[in-house]
This record gives sequence, structure tokens and C-alpha cells, in this order.
Amino acid sequence: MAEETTYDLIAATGCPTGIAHTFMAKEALEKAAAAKGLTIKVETHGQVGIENEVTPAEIKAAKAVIVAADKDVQAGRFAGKPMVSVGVTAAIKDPDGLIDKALAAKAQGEMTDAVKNAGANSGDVEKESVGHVIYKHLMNGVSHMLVFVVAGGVLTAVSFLWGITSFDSTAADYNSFAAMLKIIGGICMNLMVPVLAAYIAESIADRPGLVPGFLAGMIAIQGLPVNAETGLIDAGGSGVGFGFLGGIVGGFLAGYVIKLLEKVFAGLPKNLNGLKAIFLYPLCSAFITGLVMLGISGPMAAINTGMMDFLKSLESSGPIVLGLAIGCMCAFDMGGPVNKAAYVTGTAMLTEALTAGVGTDTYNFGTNFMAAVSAACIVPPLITTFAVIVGKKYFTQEEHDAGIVNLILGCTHITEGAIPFMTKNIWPVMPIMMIGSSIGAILSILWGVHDPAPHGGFLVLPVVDGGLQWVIAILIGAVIGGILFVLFKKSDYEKNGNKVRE
Amino acid sequence: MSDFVSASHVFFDCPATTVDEALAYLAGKAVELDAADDVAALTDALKAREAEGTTGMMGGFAIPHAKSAAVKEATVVVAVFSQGIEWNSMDGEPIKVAICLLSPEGAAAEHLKTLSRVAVLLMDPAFRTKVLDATDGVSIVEAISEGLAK
Repeated sequence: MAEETTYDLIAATGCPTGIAHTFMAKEALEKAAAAKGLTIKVETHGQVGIENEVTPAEIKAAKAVIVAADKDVQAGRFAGKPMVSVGVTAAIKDPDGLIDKALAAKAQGEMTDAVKNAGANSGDVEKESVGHVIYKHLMNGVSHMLVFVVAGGVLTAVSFLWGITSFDSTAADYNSFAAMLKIIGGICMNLMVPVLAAYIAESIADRPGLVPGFLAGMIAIQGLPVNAETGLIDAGGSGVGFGFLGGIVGGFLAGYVIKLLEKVFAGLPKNLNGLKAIFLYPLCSAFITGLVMLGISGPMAAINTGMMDFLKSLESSGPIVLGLAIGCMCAFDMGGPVNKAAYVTGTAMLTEALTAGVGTDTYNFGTNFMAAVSAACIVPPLITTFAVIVGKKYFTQEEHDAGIVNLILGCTHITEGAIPFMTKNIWPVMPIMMIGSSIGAILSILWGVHDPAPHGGFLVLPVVDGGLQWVIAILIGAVIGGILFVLFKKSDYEKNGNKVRE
Repeated sequence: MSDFVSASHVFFDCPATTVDEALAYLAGKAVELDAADDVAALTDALKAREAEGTTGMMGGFAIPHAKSAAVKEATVVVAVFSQGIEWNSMDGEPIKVAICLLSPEGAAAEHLKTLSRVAVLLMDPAFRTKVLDATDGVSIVEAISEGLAK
């Protein structure tokens, strides 16, 4: 792949079954091109997936493009090139005529950025910056994850309409349908990190990446299970997950483990290829990825405990420091050990507060603390909502829609809605979220808001003491974070030649 | 894979006179060969593929194919018809030989690739002549194996 080859012609072939015609068309086009003294590269969309994929640089360098397919071959890539687009049989029947037609065709539309910016010489793929490669893999994961967050988040939010403890059969507002909604929504959201990891790995290593990717994602949310009594690794124990950051790490790990195995197994005889695909890759990659993921999940429990102790030690350091710590922790690694430390500490203090009873100092401090934690968890999704509305043109349609849904998720304390946005650009979106959350938390403490409910977002407003101040604190955090987010997207948009970065 | 193409998979003097009959015949043979386990399901799968666009190619060859749960392992079945069949082929010629490619659901990539390479062989006029001139299964299998070995 590294050699600097350009082709006179680029083609993509595909058919529904992807066994026969796709490849016959390739053969026909290659023969016809050779007979004319032209070079051609044919990308096939067959049953085994895309093979011989053409690069943006190759598209750019080609004189013309031929699409011979009865299925989608992402012809949008070829915009701005002289092109003919026909059914797959046309290429088998008359490849010669098709090539003439393509060369005579007029270019239509505008080239995509990827093609326009591709180096004139191919080999551009090799030179693609590391940052961009990582971003591409990450985005494959994010786009698959997004829909899980939306489905799971909305179902969970709807379940709260019956009351925030309606899932709990011992609670007064119990409703079995609401419980089922919350179960479905919860499972759907739990799939988010495994899907993220799996599709990062798939982007790196194609289909074989899925097995270790899903596995790594599951370990990322479950952590290393340890027996509470013995302190030893125990399949029946429970662990502290690593959150979506662990999913990202796991996805890349899984993808590159497969890449490594491809090298290791390259020496095996060809007739073992079938065995490789269904046996060796899944088995070895799962084993290696699993061990490494469990290994790096080990310290998560310690980080979690450490952060909880740290937060407790700040109890008397004043609203600004405490609010800053809560805000930064909540928005740092949503679902990871640091975020959980803040949330668990919040609920623990709330339990103490409720036990101590209304009017006591413990009650006041605990409910105030909880209000800050909840504010910090509600702010991030609302930041995205504000940003996609105000800075609409800087976001893709998909992001815009997800941002709108985040209004529901934010108002119901479902922080996960912000994860896809954060994953896409950890820097600078994570710090932006941390700033927004901190502002919400600090103001909630300063204004003496007291929240006696551990969850539920704005649905628990009737029981919040200082509800109006609380909403204002959250909105201020969301607007400031949102403005920063829009500014970042704006500069990114301008850097990208006044185009939304996909 | 050892039985992927073997002389036992080649049938001469096939009596079919229509595409549907030919597909049913091929499905029946695949089950007889223990390469598939459901004649009706396999026939339907082949017909469904045919409905998406003819597999009648050029020079008297058709390449019906299907991916179906009824198929046990990736295999090739060849039928030589006693009379040409109207198959709506690309060059309008009646079909004399059908090379049928069968793939199970979730076939290994390597098997799918081999099936595809059999299809590509049809693009080679020399290969087509060899098959049309063949009078026994062994020579057809040789022609395919030689082509795949290239």
C-alpha cells in the first residue's frame, strides 16, 4: 500500500449477494482497462466486506470513476469527478464502452474535503496524521454509540414520569411498567461503552475487532471483580468500572491486538485462514485484550476510594473549592471512577443527612452537597443542547438532533447524553464540561440549595429547597459551558475550511 | 473444503427446460450431495437471487448462487443441460451450463473468496471453451481447479 501508485481509473463494484457479479465486474473492468493501456483500481463490495479500498488520494488522482453496483458503495466520495454510475451487469456486459463513457463524462458536484485535501500523490493514507487516524477510529465508535444513548436515555427519562423511584417495588410510587422502561433504558445505555469500544476496534481491524472490542467495553464498565471479604480477584465479586474513557482505551487496544495477531499469524499456511477467522482471532484477541483490560481496571477501585476520601477532606474548605472539585469530578470521566466517587459520596452524605433529619447541620450539608452533585451532572447534556441550538451550523445534523434530545436527558439527570460529544473531542470538550459543571455546583452551594433526592433532575424540583436558584445555577453553568463549546466548534469549523467536521 | 469442487458435483444431461426447473434441480442435487439440507428453502434462496437480476451470463453460462442457512458448507454444483435454457442472459444466448455457488450463512471469508474466484473464471473465454468441450466431470473439475490455482 505504501507505494506511490496512481490509477487512471477508479471503480467500485457491488451486488446484493456479493459473491459473483461484484467480482466478475471487477475482472471485466480490469481486462478492458488493460486492453486500452489504462491502469485501474477496482474496489469490491462483496460478501466478505470492502476489499481493495480506494483512498481519497487515489480518487483525486484518477481521470474518471466507474460505479457498477446494485447496492450502496458510498458513491458520495466520488463527487466532483467525471463518473458513470450503472448496474453491476452493465460492467460485465460492456466494460469497454463504460470506460469510454466515464472518461468522456463531465465532473458533477463538488469534491469532498477528504478528496480535495488529499495529496496529489497517493500514499497519502500512510502520511495521514496520527491525530486524524485516531479521530477517524474514535468517530466510528461515537456514531454507533450515539443511538444507544438516545434510545436508552429517553426510555429512562420517560420512566421517571411515574416518579423517580417508580422502578423500586418497595417504593410508594412503584409502577411495574415504569420499572420495565427503566430496565430497558438502563440496559440500552449500558451497551453504550461496549458498542463504542467495539466499533473503534472495528474501524482499526475490521470485523475481527468486534469480539475483543465488545469484551473490552464490557470490562470497562464492570471493572475487575473483587471479593469484598478476601480482597482477591473473584468472578462472583464486583468491581469499579473505568467508564467511557476505559471504553476508548479498550477499543484501541482491541483493534491493535488484532493487528498484532494478523502479523503473528501471517506465517500460517493459507488453508488455515478459515480457522484463523473463526477460532484463532477471537480466542487469542479475547484472551489478550481481556487480561490487559482487567489489569488496567484493577487500580480503578483504588482511584475511586482515593477520590472519595479526597472529596470528603474538602468538606470544610468552602463552597468554591468544594463546588469546583464536585464539578470537575462529575464531568471528568462520566461513568468512571472519578465521576462515581463524586456521585457516591453525594448519595452517602444524603443518606446521612436524611437519617439525621431536617433542621440538623448534617441534613443541611448533605442535601446542599447533593444539590451540587446533581447540578454538576445535569449541566453537561444541557451544554450540548445550548451549543447545538446557538451554534447550529457548526454541528452535523446528527449531533444537532442528539443535542436536542439531550435537553430531555439533562433535565432528568442523565449525564450520559454528553458522552458522545466528549468522546469526539476529549480536548477541549472535557474541560469545558468541567467548567460548566463546576459553575453549576459552586452556585448551588453558594445559594444554599438543598436537594433531598439522589436523582431525577428537574422532576424532583417540588421537593428541592431553593429550586429556582438551583435551576438558575444550572442554566448559568450550561450557558457558559455552551458558549465555550460553540467557540471551540466555530474555530474548528473555520480551521476545516468553513465546513462542519464530520 | 476437500469436496469444494469434485467430479461428483458435476451432472450431465440435466433435463431441466426452464430456469425454475434448473434451480430446483441444482438444489436437489446439493441436498443429495449432503451439502445442503432443505431443497425447498435452497430453491427459494436461488430464486430470490434470480429475482434481483438474472444470473444468466454470456457464452451459454449461468451462475446461480445463494447464501442460505440451508447450505451446510460452501460448495460448487455444476449442471450441464441436455438442451439450452432461456435464462434472460446478458448476450441473449440460451444457457448450456450452470455453475451454482452455494454459501452457508456466516461462511468464512476464505470460502466466499473462492466462490467469487469461480465466478471470475467465467470471464475467461478459454475456461468457458474447456468446460463446454468437457465430456466428463473430471475435466470440468480440472478446469475449475486449474483456474483457481492461477
